[in-house]
Amino acid sequence: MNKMRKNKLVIGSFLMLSLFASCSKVIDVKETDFIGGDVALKTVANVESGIIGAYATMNVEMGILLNSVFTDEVRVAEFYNAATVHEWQYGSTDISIRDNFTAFPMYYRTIDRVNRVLAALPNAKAANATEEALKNRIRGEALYLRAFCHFGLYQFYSNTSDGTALALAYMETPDLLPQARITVAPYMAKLNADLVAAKALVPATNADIARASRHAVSGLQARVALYMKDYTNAAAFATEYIAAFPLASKTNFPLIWKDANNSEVAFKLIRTTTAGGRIGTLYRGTSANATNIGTVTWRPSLALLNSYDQVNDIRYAAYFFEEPLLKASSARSIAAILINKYAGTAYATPTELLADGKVFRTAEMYLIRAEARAELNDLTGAAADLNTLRDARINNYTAASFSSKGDLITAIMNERFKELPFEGHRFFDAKRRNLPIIRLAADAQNNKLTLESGNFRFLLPIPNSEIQANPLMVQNPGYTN
Amino acid sequence: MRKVVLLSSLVFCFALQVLAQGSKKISGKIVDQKTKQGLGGVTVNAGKVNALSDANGNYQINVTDQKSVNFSIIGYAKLSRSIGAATTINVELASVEAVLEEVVITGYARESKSKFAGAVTTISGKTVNDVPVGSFDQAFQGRVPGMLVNSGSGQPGSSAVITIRGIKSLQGAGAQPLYVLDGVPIPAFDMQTLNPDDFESITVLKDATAAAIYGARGGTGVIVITSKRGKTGKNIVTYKTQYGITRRPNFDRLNMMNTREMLAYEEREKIVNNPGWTWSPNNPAIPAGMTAASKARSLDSLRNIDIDYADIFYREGISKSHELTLSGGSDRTKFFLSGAYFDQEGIDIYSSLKRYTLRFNLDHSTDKFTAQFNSTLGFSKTQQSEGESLGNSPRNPFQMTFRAKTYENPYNLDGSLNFGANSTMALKNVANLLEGLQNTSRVFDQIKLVGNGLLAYKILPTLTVRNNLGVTSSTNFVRRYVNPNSFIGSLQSFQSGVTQESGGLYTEFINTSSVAYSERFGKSELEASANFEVVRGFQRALGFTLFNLDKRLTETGQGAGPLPTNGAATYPQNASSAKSGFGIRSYFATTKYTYDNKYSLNANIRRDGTSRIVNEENREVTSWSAGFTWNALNERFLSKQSIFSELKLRLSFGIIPNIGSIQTSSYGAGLQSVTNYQGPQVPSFGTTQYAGSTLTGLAPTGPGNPNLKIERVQKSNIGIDFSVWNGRARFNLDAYDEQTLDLFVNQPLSGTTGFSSLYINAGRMSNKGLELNAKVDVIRGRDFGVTLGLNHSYNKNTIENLGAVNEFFLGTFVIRKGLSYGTHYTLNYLGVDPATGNPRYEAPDGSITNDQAKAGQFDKFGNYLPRHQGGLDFEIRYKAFSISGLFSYQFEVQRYNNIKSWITRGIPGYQSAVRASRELIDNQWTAPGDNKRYQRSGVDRGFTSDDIEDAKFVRFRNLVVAYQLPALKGPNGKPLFTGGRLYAQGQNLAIWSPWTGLDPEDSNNISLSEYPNPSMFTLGLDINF
Repeated sequence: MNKMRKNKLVIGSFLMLSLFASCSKVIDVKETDFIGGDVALKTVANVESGIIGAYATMNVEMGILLNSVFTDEVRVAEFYNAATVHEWQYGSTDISIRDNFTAFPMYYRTIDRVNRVLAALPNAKAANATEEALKNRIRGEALYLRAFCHFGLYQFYSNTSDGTALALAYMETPDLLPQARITVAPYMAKLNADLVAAKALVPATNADIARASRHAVSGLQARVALYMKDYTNAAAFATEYIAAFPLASKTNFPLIWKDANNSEVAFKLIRTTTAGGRIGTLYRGTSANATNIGTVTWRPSLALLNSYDQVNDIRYAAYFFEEPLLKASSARSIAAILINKYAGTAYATPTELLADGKVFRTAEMYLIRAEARAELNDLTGAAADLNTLRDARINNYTAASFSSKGDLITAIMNERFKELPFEGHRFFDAKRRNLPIIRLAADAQNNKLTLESGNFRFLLPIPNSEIQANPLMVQNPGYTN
Repeated sequence: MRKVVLLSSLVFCFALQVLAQGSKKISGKIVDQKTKQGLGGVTVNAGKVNALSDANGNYQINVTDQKSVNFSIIGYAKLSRSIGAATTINVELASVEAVLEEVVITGYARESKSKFAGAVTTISGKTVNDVPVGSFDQAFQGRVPGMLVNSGSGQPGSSAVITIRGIKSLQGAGAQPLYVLDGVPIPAFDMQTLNPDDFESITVLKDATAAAIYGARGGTGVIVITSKRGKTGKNIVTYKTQYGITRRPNFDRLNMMNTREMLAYEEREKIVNNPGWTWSPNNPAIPAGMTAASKARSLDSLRNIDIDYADIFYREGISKSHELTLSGGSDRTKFFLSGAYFDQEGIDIYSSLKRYTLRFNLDHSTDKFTAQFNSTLGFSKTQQSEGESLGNSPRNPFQMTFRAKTYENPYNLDGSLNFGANSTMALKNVANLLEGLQNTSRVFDQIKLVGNGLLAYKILPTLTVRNNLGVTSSTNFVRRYVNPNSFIGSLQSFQSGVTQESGGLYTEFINTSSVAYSERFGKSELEASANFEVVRGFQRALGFTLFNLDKRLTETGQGAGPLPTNGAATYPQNASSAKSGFGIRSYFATTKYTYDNKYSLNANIRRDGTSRIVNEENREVTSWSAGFTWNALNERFLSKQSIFSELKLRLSFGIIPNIGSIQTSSYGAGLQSVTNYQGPQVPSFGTTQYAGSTLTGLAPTGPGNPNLKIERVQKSNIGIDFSVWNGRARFNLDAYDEQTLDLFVNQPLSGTTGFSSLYINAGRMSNKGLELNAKVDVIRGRDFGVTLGLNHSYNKNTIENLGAVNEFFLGTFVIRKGLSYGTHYTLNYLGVDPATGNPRYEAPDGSITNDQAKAGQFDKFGNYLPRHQGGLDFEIRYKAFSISGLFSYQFEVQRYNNIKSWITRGIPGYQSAVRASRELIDNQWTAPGDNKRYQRSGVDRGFTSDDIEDAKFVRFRNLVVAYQLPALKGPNGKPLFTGGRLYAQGQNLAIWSPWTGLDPEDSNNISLSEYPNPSMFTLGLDINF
């Protein structure tokens, strides 16, 4: 009996011991089937998928629409509900409605994606030299997209060369905690450092135009330097770009807008109807059939149309067209002149209003260099750049000469208006040069003719949802909530 | 009787023998403690001597040197009396039901009720034993104070949604209580393969003292079930059967138009593309290819079709069951064996549940050693209603009940179904629906096993070691098959039917080891235990879809043909698989100290470590509780009073985490899913496309929550139990305050994070309530008895704090500080502007506006969770007859009547798709000056406060009329059976409610396309052999 009890005890305690031993594992049961956490971006191929995921949220459309609707590029056509923004009446709570000008979460979403890629990259083991090279490229692209998006944020919410003014938070790692705004100087220092690092890592040529390359970096560096009034560098980086991508021929120029060639373009965001969507719908809706043309929301302003030599300037036909069907319709003749830049293929065809988002063009680089040279008092060089561009766009052009820096700058800004409409520059340019927005009476809605220079609305309000969510956030001046 | 005579004579002979050795005769009467009726057939035992009591309860037995005499009979607690010098020993035996009231089964222990400070409600297994519902939790409604039980589906075998003492969490609002069967946790919402007739008792653990012992899984309460066991005595064989019908609710409640009214309404409102107007003689337009005469003919032929489709979509289902149980045992070994078959047809024409179950329970005990083995094995086959999975669809019969136009003729002249493309002028919805249902099947097969083995050994008189090992396992096969040889089959991808099949294995093991100590020191009693427990869960499932099925076959995907790739470089997989699991490791200790049977202190503490929390720092969570009871009647100063026969005060306090608060997600595996326990806590990724690359993009879809902590529920309870009138009127009162701490709130995130919001631990929610349970034996006679019971509970939920968040929206609710969870938030509809017929709404500033865009949203339309609920039960017995019944009720509850919103919408879009309500005929604006409820047909009023209705109800939930059968002898004098019961039962007999929809009871906030709860009528027979 005693022995039996002993045996029982031995067996019992053995069972207990084995149970205890297996128990530390019990609370460490891993989720083995979940493609998330550290598993998601495990291999080099996964990380590349991660960077593609970041490209998927890259956006030029919001800036394009903003710079049209807030300025004298467009006027109202057949449908109008954007009063709060077109008439400069917005606050932080309603900037998100109507056309959704909340760049804040949009750019940071891309930034979060690239930061996750950058965090995962060191742990992704390269199987061979090709993958090692790919890792470098991905790292370069991630840094580039990070700089690109931070610059976008700066354009919307900061846009000043004053290094002590507030920029935003420069996000270098994924982080769920609230972040405070930092000033422009350190913000731009981080941004420029990212660009310098990226430039050494991304491909030297733009064989893959849909993704970042060295000249895309130069293009952004030129733009950043211009905004920061660092004119020497602006001219130098623009020169790098111009050397690689000459201006389009007069034959090729209109075809850029049909995506038939990539003249001048170092980097563009590819769009399909399912991935990215139709840029052209920013200005008008898709058509039901060849004669039932989609609702026109915005038409080109008279100020813009009148600024061209409509006979000799090839840009006029490339950028606009008159639609006889609409002109003939008494109800719709108001919308007869349409924006051609993103018209895509014929009405009601599958790719109507579909076009790629061109991020940089050589023309912009000429204008950057012209402005930089003018500011550096190289009036000859500046005038030469301006004349070269005009000569490429205008038949029978005779070179103009300019008597003063002021005249030249005005001419350059006017040329930017004519060359770069619907490409996302007008409003930002006015802010950085401290110019007003002035509309013709015929272009204005409810007599909203002028946004005087220096008005606080040249910077967008930090969205109210962000103010609510982030106790460290500081609103831009002029906005109360 | 002959047997009894034989036995008695044997006993007599035996007695004569022992008499010679200096024996003495003891006699007496054995009666039922409650009814005071004599109990026949009681085994009277003294050492090796046995005797039986006669039909009147009288017995006699001869004893020699035995010290005690024992009395036992099935259904009553065993009783032992010491003999001493007595020659007459009269005893009262307490029925097991009465005993149940004295003991609280917490699952880990049996606690003496007088020393237990917890708030619990025990209901007898009888409550669920004979109720003809496929899932026993449906039978809990109105039985337990503080427990809200609502059924959202009439599918046979579907479970109810249970909430104990209010919603505890925003993120885990649907978390169900923990179910424990014989010490083994079993999954909620999965009861259809368990036989409720095997259940002996059900105990609901509500407060901290009762539930803290279950740790993090006990935060939302625990439902402890014990199964029936064999009892010492002769073997008993029982056969039970039921036969009955299930019946659909009365759809007349919806008050819908008939054909004549509908055509007239369409004409009045000039609803285009509807026959009433298109073919109206008052409509000058002549459709292409028609003439005025053919228009009139078409309208005429429609006018004569008037079919109420509810008669076609529903049936009167047959419900039947058979069960055989065998139980018995000796002093040392007892067994209980049952086999049962349950078969119920749903009121939906293609839904049913068939269940086959076996149970074997075995007990063996010696002085020091106890072994227990319980097991149940079941197989069930559920034909699921296709409608439940369809939602908003004209193929959903539950919607078409109020959508099908009475003038649709679904049949061709030859009686076949006239299916095809549907339009409002050539309706084929009903034919398509019927054709679809005929050719689609959805079957859920389940094999379920629940078993445990318990060993206990008393090392010392004061020290017992115990180990319980349990397992629950479900093997599920789910199949949805669309016949390739049908019209609906031709509408599937690749035009030839589809089959989706899925198999899954869901298993959970539990092992609990404990050491229990119990000792008495003078007036003090001390009990303590130390326990160690491990739970390990496994899930695995796979599923696939096959298209292009073989038209010659009609059951599975055998012979399915190849699929065209349409030139694609890759082809999507149509199969998936997943597995997951979790583990919990727990240490816990309990202690109880009682002084002089007056004061008891209960305390327990438990530490759970769980793999379900990813953050290792927060992985270990602690539950604890402390309770106190005072048995006032044991005080000397109250010993003289005669008002109370019981008076006990209970206090308890503690904190229990709620594992259900942590968000989980799932892996799809065809028609089943596997729980992803950790996914939402770590960053998750999804695919995305960038047109500039052929690679698939990978993008984060959720940020994860690295700082996640578990929500904790701080529970306070004060209770009083008392009985008066010699124990005939018994009352329990409880008041509680439960505070959810570290409540997950949906905190907006800074845009810099890349995400918009995250559930973080920042809020607090409270549930405060009162519970009353009363039972009164109004008449307690030998032949006649009346018992009335009432339980009522009140619960007020308040969102106390949302951290930095102002408010957010969850479905149709607003989550706002100070409001209750589930508060409706919508436009306030103010009726019609008599001049224009436009709808009017309240603006945010309180003024009236006709513009929906300027209308405000308000939180003043109530809540979908009832504040008051309860049940009223009665039992009347007269000799062998008894009638018992239950009324359940809920009030202060408002729900969206979405059906009504559709059938009274009164605009062309809805009118074309529904069979409208008669209310539109004379309560819709048609001309200036009309003061009507509903706006003109040219404008929509939207989904507004007008669609929220009072959903309070009183439901005649259950009625049983029974007759106790006497023993019956056959023609040869041998007993045919020793007793039995014949009964008739009704379930969901009637409902009283201001609600204008089908059924005010539902498990959610909106009623639109639910499978309606049926009413049931059964006849039952139990026979004991």
